[in-house]
Amino acid sequence: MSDWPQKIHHKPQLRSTSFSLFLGASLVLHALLGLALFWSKAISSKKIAPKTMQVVWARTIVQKTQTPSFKLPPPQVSPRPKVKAPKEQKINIQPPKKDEAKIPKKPDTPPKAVSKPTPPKKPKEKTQEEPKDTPEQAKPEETPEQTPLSRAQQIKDALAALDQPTPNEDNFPTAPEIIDQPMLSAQDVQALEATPEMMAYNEVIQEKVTQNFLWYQAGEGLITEVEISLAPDGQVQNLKLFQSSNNQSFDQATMRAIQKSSPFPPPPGKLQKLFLQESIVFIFDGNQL
Amino acid sequence: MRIILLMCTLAMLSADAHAKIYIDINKSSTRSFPLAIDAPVVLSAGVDVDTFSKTFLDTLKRDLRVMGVFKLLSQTAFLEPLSQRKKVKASQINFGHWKTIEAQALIKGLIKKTNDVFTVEMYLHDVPFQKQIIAKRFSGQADQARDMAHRFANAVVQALIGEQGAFDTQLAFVCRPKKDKELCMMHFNGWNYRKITDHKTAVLSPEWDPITNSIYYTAFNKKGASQLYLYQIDRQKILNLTNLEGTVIGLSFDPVSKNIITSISKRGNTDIHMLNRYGQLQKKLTSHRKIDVSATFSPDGDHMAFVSDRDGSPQIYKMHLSTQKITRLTFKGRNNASPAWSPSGDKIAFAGMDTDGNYDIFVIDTDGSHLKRLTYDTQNNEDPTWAPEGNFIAFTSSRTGNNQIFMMRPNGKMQTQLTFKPWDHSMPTWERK
Repeated sequence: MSDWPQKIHHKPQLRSTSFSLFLGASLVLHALLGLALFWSKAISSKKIAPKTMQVVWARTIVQKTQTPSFKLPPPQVSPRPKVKAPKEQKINIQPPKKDEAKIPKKPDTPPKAVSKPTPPKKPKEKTQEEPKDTPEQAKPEETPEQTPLSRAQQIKDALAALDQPTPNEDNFPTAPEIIDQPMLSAQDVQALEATPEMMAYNEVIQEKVTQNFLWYQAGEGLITEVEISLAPDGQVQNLKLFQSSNNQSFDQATMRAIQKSSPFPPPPGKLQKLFLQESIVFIFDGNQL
Repeated sequence: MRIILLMCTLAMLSADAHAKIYIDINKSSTRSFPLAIDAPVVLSAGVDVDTFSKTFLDTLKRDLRVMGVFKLLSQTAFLEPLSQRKKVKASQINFGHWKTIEAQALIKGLIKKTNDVFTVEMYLHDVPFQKQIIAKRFSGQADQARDMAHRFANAVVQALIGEQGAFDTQLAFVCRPKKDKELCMMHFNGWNYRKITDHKTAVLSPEWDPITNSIYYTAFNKKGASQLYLYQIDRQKILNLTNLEGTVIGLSFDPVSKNIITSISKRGNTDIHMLNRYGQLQKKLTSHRKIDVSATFSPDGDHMAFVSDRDGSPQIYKMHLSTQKITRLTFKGRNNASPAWSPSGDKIAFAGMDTDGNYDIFVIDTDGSHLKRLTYDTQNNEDPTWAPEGNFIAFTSSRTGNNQIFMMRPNGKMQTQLTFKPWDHSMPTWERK
């Protein structure tokens, strides 16, 4: 009988107002905790990794290729040149002659030695043919459906390029390798100069310059020294008159001979470092020609 | 302190010693100089301007071609569009067109006529370096096209190969259009070839007098005696100076003393005599029982070189005219003849008989040293004469079948034929300035 009073004691507690308030508060707290947990999960699910983004975009691109009204969302990925191309095309198609005359001249000026015989003449004689000659400009207008495809391809290429090193990074490994190497000592230079490879290479250079040295009359005191640097690919660099013969024509003939001889055959691998470090001085002796 | 300085100097020297790689160029190419000559653009209308332009271009090309050094590139090979022909300055030219055809130098120009005055503006450009070498402007009358072309050609030659051209000079020589030998003349480039005399005998030994711009020569009269003549170029008149007793062989004029030296053959003996400019006998220079011929003055008039067989075979000798001291100059060869003293005074060219029995041209220093052979031919090469600047030697050669006048460098290079008439030529003498 003694247990029943205990039950009787609980009933009054449930019925009491303080207990019901506590219970309500705890339920609200739990509900809030549950909501907070759910909310935090929902937020964390929105922060998607880049790779996931890529996949999403790739899907959209594939889908949008079928619908021409697609607009590329990310400006960083879309290649700039193709976006500009239609603008250039519009300028070219415009009929005024002044513009046509100016446009072809521009490519002529930067490259000095490049031979482009036609550009200055064509615009005047064949003004209507020029747009046809530039398919990149004409095609986008005639076949607009092809642009998304090409853009998609370019985007793919651009994305693929992200994983590859930049062109600058590619260039770096070669230059530092040479520059960072220690200078050849005088003994090393002398040793290299005495090698059969050096003698053979000197003969090759000597023969080529001699073949291009157009001078027909010996003269007393005609000695000119011309200094050059030789690039690894054999190109003549830093051509300069080191010692004049005081005969301007002879000096010019010697300079012309070397300029005409460029490029020389590249120095053999063993000698490349030597020619990078040392300059060449050609001594033209016109006394005994 | 001195030791430290010495060590520093040695260190610097050793550092510099391996600073450069030296390559000697002791030979030049045997190739010709590729030169592109674009016809000058005519800016004025009119037949006379076109004629002027054509004369100018033809003369220029002829001058440069006869040098034997230049390879004139064919105009049909030019790649430059016609629209760019008026662009004559280096900054305007697309040198790529000219590099492609392997031109080393490019000539361009403009010709216009204003109030009967022709103006020629000519440019020489360096194609490998894409820059102007020279630019010249000439003004004159219609009949001066050739003179302008000669002057520009001289400038081109000077700029490209460092030599004085001789384009405004003439040559006199003996020609044989028919059976007789006459005096003929032409310009250096072969233009204006003309027969001067009509003696219908044998004209010999023409020699230039630069003072009066005349030519001395000898010719036999109908009685077989030698007569001394003077052809005055400006007046186009021939003067019969004197009748000389005996046979006269060879003439040489000294502008300093204004005397003539010649060989006169009398009674079986030939010796060298001095005449004044009117042909009057002054004195006998050699008296030897052997033959002395082909005398030529040194440029300063102090010496003469001549040929004598006094030592057995014809050889070249030198005489100091004041002291009469004679020095033998040649010892090689069995027959050396026709010496010609260079204008610079340091060389003597002569014809020497080779082992094959033909003559070739050789050159020696005036002390007889440094004998150098200039022609290698199985035919005769003889009668050398120097250009006024000493940069060419003209001579007679039978290498083409008959005797023609040729020209070469003093080192024997670039031998070029100057006459092309189908008859014999001999004894050339170059105009002296």
